[in-house]
Amino acid sequence: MKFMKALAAGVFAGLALAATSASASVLDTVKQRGVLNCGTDNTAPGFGYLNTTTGQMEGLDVDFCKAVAAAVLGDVSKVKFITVTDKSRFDAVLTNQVDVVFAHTTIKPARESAIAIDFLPINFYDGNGVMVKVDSGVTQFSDLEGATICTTQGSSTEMVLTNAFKARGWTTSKVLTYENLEKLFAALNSGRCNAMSTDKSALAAWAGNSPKPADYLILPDTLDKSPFGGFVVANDSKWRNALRWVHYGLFQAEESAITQNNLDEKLKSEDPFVQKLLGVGGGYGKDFGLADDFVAQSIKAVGNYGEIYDRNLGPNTRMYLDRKGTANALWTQGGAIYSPLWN
Amino acid sequence: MIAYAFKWSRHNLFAKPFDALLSLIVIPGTLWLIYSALAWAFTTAQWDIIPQSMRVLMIGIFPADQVWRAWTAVGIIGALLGAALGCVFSFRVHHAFILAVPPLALAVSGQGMEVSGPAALVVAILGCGWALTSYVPLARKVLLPASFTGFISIFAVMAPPGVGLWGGLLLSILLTLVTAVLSLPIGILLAFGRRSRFSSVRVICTGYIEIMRSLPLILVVYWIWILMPVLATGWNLADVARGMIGFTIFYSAYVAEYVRSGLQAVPQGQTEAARSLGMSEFDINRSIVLPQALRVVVPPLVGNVLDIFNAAPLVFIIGLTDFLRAGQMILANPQYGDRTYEVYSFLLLTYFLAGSMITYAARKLEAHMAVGSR
Amino acid sequence: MSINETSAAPGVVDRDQQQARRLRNRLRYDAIQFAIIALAIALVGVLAYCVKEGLAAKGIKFSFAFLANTAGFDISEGKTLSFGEEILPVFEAFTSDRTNGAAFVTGIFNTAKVAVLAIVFSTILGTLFGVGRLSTNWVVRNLCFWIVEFVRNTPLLIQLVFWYFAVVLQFPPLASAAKWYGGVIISQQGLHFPSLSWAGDGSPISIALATATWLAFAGAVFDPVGKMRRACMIALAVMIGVLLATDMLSVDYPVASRFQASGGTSLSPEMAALLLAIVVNSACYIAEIVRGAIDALPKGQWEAAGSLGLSRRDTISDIILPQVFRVVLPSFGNQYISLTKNTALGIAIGYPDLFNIYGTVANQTGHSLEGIVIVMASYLLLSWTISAVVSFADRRLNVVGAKR
Repeated sequence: MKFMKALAAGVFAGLALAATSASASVLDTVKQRGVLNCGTDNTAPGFGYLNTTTGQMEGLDVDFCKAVAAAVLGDVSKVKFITVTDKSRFDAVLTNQVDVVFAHTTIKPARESAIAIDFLPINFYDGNGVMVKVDSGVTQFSDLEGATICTTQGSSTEMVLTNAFKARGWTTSKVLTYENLEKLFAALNSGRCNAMSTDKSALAAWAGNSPKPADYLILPDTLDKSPFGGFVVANDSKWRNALRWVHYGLFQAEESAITQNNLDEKLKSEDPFVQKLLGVGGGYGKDFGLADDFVAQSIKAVGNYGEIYDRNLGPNTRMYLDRKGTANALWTQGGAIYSPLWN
Repeated sequence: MIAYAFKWSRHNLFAKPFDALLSLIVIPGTLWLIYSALAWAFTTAQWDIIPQSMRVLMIGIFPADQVWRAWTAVGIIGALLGAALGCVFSFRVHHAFILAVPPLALAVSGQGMEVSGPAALVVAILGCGWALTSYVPLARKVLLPASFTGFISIFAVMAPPGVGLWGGLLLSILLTLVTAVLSLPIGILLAFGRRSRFSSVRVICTGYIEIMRSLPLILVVYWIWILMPVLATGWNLADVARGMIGFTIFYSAYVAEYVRSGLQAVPQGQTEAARSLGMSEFDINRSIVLPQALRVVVPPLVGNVLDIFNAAPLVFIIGLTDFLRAGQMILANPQYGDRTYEVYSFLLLTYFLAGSMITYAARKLEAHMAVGSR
Repeated sequence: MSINETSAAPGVVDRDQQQARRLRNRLRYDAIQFAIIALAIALVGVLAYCVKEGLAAKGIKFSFAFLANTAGFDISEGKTLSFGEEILPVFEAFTSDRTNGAAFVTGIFNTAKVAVLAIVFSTILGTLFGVGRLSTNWVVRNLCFWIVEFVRNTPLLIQLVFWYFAVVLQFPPLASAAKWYGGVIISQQGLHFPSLSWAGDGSPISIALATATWLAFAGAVFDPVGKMRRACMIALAVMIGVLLATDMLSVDYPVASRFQASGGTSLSPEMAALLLAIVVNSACYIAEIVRGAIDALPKGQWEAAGSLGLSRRDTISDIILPQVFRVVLPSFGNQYISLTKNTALGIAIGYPDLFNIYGTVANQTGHSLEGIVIVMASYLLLSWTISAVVSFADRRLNVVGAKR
């Protein structure tokens, strides 16, 4: 075994041109590299979407990527978007190909236990919904017994649907899986699928952006909760903690009414808490291996959580998802967006 | 004239009752299909989507301000292609007219000067390379080092914005180029390995070739993509590079089989004669067997390039945005969801044109090689 | 005899030296062999070790235990082996409470199903295209040429997506689906055909009838005696009529409900599109093989047949094609293998083939590497089975009859 170890070490040395020791945190790797490799989808409007007319990436997940890049490297342009699919997103993190993934991923225990990844805080509260075409005459989920319901391969919805059929004793219903959402939507439009099921936000995006939004009906039923979060490779608490507090910084900034526009005023603020949060004269960043002004940097880049939400899912977008009264509202307004105590 | 047409159709369409029946079924059917396709193309189809998203189709998400890099790479590829063409077919004046078609078509289709201009330049470079190797034999001598240099410079010019940003048709072309070039030496080594004196080498090479030939390419690419980082944890290779490695590993086995068939076509007497002159095995293989074998396998190897090009869309499985995936991404925008037929027709036609050119070249080469062979 | 011993006779010395040289050569050969093998084993060992270390660093354990866990996901179609009370395993539909191992079996089943059907149909269609390219009819000749050119010069993946979204999914929805007599339903939910099911009991009469029907069928297909085919066909038709009249054989018609049709046999849209794409694609490659083989036949064959007064169609079916099939089988074998490999593209349209199911299992369990081993072994097995069958057929064909 010693011999094997030596051989393996030799091979590693030969292969690893820019080898980093296995114990080094991703945080150090990113800082050394000077670029953040962020895994996102590029076909999910509102979350990770490549706008083919401008050639720019946009969406809530994309903004979180930018916020992390700004917080860690102090420069929002130092982010590289790497496309991941529902199928490849876990492998991408496990193989160090990306440093963090924000790809509308549902947080569930099996993923953390079996796949060796760690989730970051929830950045969007969603639920598994079902969408049908209006002319099918279906108005609620229980009408769909015996139907073919389609979803994406490797998504959590696959299991949710199977369990929903089981719970209702539907033996003739079928789950059909496609490898991406655009094929799913095409199959729904053609009539191959009687219903399409995925996260409600995505359903709203596809219906809202389609030429005839009135043709589609998102059923009132929510099959299951589907909280989204980014994730990083397991057992790297340094990196994970830094990213967690980047999230909480965005949440807290909304609570403390710090926006992209008033950031410069707030930097001059007399309030000691706001000063410390924004890293004026010492802050919270040092302990995480970040710059003291990391919250200020991320707000400068993309704004607070409310601004990120409104930019991508707010009233001025085609896929408007109202925040009021949902879990996505700030906790002060009855929602679940909540930052732990900073002081 | 009418009599001739009557006679021709009598002979070619209605020779026997069965023939007549076939004709009567097939002709109207085909005509109706062609008519409905044309009617759709010229009336209901909304082609505006194609010029609007041309940049995404051609170079994917490559930064817009770096487009000159893509054009430079295309220019180098054009020069090398022209030079290679010139070694086999002499440049004639009518070729120039054929070459002028694509930039003119671009100009007519409403693309601005920033697209048609560089396109015309690329075509001009291609023509120059072609003419150069056609009429200056000395240029053929330096072709190999020149193409090697060109190859390196393509990467040098394309790499700075980030290899991960390559996409569109350019990615398909680059992937095809790299795979075709890299799999040739590996394939030749494998082919010789399969004929080696040492049974162990024979077994290893045969096993490798046979295993690769019975696995789907899409799996090989996907697995290489998964395994590379597991094998070398600290060594982070871009997706594109991993895809290219997967393609090369797979196609080397195919190239090996083509080369082996070429090696078998070299008469045994040649090696025996060389042995009797006291040449070493290495020298025999290098200067007698291999040149003759490669001559035989050039046409199938060109066919193999077409196979690689047609397999390039498989990289969707590792999240790369090649030509096909770029088209699908445009359709992913729900506003354009109803333009499926337009986008797919464009993709199919582009692939068909490119594929036909490669096939045509392979056939011409075959004829060209057949002239010189004994 | 050792090297140091010298002998008086000069010729023997020579022989000794020769032997010594031979021994040295053999030793050198063996040493190199040994070195190569050792290097190969070391390399494989290092690779395996690196994978193991890499996985350990990521906290993944390499084990096949997950195959026995409940899958928990549904597969839209396909059967799996189930080991129940019967001695032999039976094929049963996959359900979500079966194991991950059963899911893999379903994947292999689906891949093999498409491959076998595609091999049969593409051989027939490809032969037709190949002969069609040499037809005397100008339209047929050119049509076949252009179809073959177009298909061979475009990627299969686009063809597949095209067949699925632009052809199969354009069928009418189930509610307004075409129903022909015979009860065939063609809709977006799939193609449904009536199927025959055996309702006879175990009485001697019904067994005798079934045996007679089977014999008539076998005679009609294989014609072992010669000149018996027509009689067997008539007998078969009569037997089936009798069976239907006595209700021992019943026809199971598909019945459309609101979302699905049940009963009969059905072909899902994904399967139909994959089959269409692969059949048409392979047929074009097979057409080229057939055409090449026909072109390679001596012209004299055609002329001799013509001088005997055979029509062109008889010449092709009785003289040309039998000789062609003897030559092209190995090339067909290669084409069949690549066809089987192409079924892995089913993932692009949601067909649950082996690769697709492997992806799902790997995603739900995280055991990607073990899946690689299983999938690799399955594809190798499929390919080698095809090779073995084709080479067996090749030997059988070439034992009898003259070589070209």
